[in-house]
Amino acid sequence: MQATADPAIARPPAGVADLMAACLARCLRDGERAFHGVASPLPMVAILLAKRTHAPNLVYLNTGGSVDPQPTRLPVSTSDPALFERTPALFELIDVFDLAARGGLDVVFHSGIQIDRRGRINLSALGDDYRRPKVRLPGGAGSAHLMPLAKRVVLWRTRHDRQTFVESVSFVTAQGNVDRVVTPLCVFKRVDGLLELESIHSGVTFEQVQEATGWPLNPAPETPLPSELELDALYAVDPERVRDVEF
Amino acid sequence: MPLAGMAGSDLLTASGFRSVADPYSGREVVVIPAIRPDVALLHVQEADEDGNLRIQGAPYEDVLLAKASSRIIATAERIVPRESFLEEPERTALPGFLVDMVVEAPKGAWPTSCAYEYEYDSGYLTAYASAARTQEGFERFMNSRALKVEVLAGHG
Repeated sequence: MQATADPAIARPPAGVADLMAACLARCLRDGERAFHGVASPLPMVAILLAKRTHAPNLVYLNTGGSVDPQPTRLPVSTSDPALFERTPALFELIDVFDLAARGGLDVVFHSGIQIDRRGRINLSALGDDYRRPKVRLPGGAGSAHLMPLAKRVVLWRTRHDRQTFVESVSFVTAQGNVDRVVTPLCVFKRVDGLLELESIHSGVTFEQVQEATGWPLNPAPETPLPSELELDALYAVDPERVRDVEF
Repeated sequence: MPLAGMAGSDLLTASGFRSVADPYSGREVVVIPAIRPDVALLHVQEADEDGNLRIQGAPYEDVLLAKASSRIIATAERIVPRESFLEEPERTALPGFLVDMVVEAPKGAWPTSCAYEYEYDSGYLTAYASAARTQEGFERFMNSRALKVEVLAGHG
């Protein structure tokens, strides 16, 4: 008897992690050089997904320092030694920073505790005084260097509310070439320096997005659901659903 | 770029290098303009078909020069299987995504040396140096394919 079920039938309906991974992957183009840092499971999955679908020649760089690794099992930590499996070279963080400085890094993934209308992020401090913050945040993790230098910056955040998406961040840790922002509710695209709604995820209303966002928005069409091709690839690169870990 | 050293050298004036006051310490620091070559030409011992390069022996500044350049073209003594780089990634001098072209060129560094492969060809270089004292001698030497073949053959 055949033991294997059709994965398209066996798997549950695409969830928000699947959709966010697909949206992030769609931000990448074939042949580009893309980088993610620490604590970045969704970008890790998205890069591997893009390489398996529309961008086989994408160059995958990461904080650990590998080039196009082929991990046999996806780690939860995005600087795990699993990301050194089958790498042909080491490309350390200092190399990535130098690459960006000379204009050779196409896409970098970042996030922010706060993200504002202009695509600026705050990873440093909440409150009016940097020296005496209400909350000391984890720190910029190189974003101040990379965001103005990478050709495109893709932001993602698994929490979308008015504390996160604010009109203006209380401290600018970094700003730069933000292209898109992917959240559980929607995709923002930066147009003329300001984040505008590009699409709203299935099952989410415009009112819900507006309610959760600290600046006025205009309606937008629905985000295309992950295709069967994208879902097949997603389950192939991330069968253990590391993409869920950020939720 | 700020550069430590060079204090008191006539090269500062000869090269037109300027100095600025370090805004933190107030000390004078030499600053030099970055060199951005269009093309870097490298010879390496081993490359794979993805352009990953392995340099054996003294690396000199090859990697720095290459990374500063807009394009990288490498000649290699040998093209080796991709698997060889996957087994020892820490020995890769330059990742393939930075390299534009690889040419398989055994003896590609001749008449200079290539570490662990061959030494420099002093006979050829001496013959060249004496021929090149005049323009005519230089041209005769450079057009003398026979000499090149002879010396190559002599080297084995």
